[in-house]
Amino acid sequence: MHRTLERRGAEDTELSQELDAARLELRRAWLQLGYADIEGARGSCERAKALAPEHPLPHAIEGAIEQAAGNLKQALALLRKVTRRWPDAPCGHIYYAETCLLMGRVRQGARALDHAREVDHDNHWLEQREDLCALLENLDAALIPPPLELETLGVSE
Amino acid sequence: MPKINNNSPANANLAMEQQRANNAPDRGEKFGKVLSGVATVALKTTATVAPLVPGGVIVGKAAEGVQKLRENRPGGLEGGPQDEIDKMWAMQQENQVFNMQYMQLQQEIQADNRNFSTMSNLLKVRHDTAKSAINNMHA
Repeated sequence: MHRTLERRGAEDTELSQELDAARLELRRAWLQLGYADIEGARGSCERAKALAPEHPLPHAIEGAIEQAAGNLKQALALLRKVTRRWPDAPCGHIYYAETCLLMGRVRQGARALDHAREVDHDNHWLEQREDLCALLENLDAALIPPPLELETLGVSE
Repeated sequence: MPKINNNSPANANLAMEQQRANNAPDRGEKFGKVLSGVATVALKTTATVAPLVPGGVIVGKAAEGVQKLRENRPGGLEGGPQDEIDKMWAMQQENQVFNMQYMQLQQEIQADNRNFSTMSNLLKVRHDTAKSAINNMHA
């Protein structure tokens, strides 16, 4: 009994350390992204994913990095996977909505924002959601680029 | 070669003709002014009197119309200052066009500012939210 508790304690400590390390890598990735060091950000994010493979945030941040790099179709595919694997994680829906908006997929973006609102119980993403909603409402239809033919680019709906 | 006698009656007539020709623009201007005055009075009178005459309403309206045309196109019947007034008129119209263009430009700049402000705010919030999400990352 005592040994089991000890082992569980050790596992928890190890998990916590890994999570701390993943957090550190993600922080580094975000900082690198701020300095447009896309390759560096990708590397840091990969390490974060390896340290916390069951957490949605490193995967969502990976999509956000691809989005910032301009690889929208890749970002969309990654973020779609995140929203399917972790449907209750708002981060995936938020970045997915952003990518949809950037690709001119306004209605799809609006639906993703609705999903985000449904699952963001603690309202951690409230401000970003509201800003995206405001952007969506004030979008000038003439300025929205036509939807990309994703199917022809090898990305399925 | 025969000498020309300056005091001959034929030369006197020629000099008078030349003087008359030199004075012609002045007289034309005066004539235009007089005619303009007469036209104004005639139009006003017609417009005033016409309703009193049976069937004269149409004539009255027509006179009013012509009068308004004259008012909107200043200097229409005058001679000399007409060119200057035309120039002023053209400049005024040009000025209106420039004003419209300037207003349009201002509106476009305001719209750009609004868009920039929205995007700037969104980027800031995006950065802060991601940072906060990373810091609050837990199992």
